[in-house]
Amino acid sequence: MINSFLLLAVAQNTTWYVLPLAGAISLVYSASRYELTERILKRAARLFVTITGFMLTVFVILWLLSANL
Amino acid sequence: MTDSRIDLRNPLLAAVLAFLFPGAGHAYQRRYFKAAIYCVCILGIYFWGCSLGEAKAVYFRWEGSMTGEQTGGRTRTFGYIAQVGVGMMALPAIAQDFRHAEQLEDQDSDRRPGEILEEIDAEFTGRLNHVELGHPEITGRIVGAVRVGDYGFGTEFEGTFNGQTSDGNPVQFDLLGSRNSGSLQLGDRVTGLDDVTMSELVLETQELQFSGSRRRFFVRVVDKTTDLGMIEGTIPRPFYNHYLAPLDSESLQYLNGKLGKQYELALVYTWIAGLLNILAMWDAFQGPAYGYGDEEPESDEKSSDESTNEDADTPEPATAAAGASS
Repeated sequence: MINSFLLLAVAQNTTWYVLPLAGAISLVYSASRYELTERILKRAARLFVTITGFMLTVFVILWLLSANL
Repeated sequence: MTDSRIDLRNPLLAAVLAFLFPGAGHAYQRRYFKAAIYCVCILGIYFWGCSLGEAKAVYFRWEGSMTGEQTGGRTRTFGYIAQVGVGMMALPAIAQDFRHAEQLEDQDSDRRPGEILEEIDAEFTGRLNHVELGHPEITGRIVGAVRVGDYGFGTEFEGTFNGQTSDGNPVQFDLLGSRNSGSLQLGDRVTGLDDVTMSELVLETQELQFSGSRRRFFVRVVDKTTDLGMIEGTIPRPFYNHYLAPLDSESLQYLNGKLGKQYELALVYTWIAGLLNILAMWDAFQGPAYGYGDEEPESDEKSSDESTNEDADTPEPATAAAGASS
């Protein structure tokens, strides 16, 4: 099951395009909120994890729902 | 209100600079770390998007018909409204749309005798089919230089070709054609992508070919006025005539077929890049939205993350201040 999950993730190669996009959005958004470098980077890291975590959750839910299709 | 520690210098100028070139406004304000973030992130995803879309994801087209009756395709590029946020990199698309529209008007208009629509003096590569009385037929690939100019009336052109066949034999002949009769076919002068498929001289079925940097060129080869054959191929289209220039529906269809999801990704990347720069512009104009960053972290940012009553936390200082003043 884990193998098929990983295979699916690799096969959906366009999914990986979201990572740099999420990174850029996190950095720019956080930079527009604060001035302090450390605060920007911390908040950007948190936002990046939130975005990718949310998308991963949705991915897993959809994958589970379509498991027997 | 902006934190007094942040020197925004001239905020309006900074915002304009930030629009024109992501990061430039912050560099002007000497906020170099932010300038680097905006420049690298925004331009990075913008150019990555351009690369995914083979430099055809950004163009502007805004025609009267909402239904697409004129071209049968997407005639209003709403996505460009987001893309133009990256400023200087996307702005030439507006000028290209004007040039494209002007060219179409020229082609449709009844021209006066002697009025020059276009003169061509360019390197040519393509195929030749030439039959001259008393000489063997010459067929095959040729390269050389074409010169074509106005004949003087209407849509007629005349010119010369000087070049050589693929086995090195020099060839030279006159050209004559008219746009109206189809004996001279030229790709659009200003366009992002255009069909350059050789259809007249290659008899077997050929896959459609589109190019932005090359332009279709087909013309009759003549001896004075006697028709002796034809040449078909491409001439260069200068960079300034295809960079960010509009695409027609046929080219867009070809691009979608060729790139598939990748083209959609290219659009999304370039849209997001433009939209992100709006945040950067606002930051240059007004300063950071939440403050300098050394204030007490918001309740949701505390490492404990235990605060469930964050709304209740916020008014406390105000209440305390009110109490103190009374």
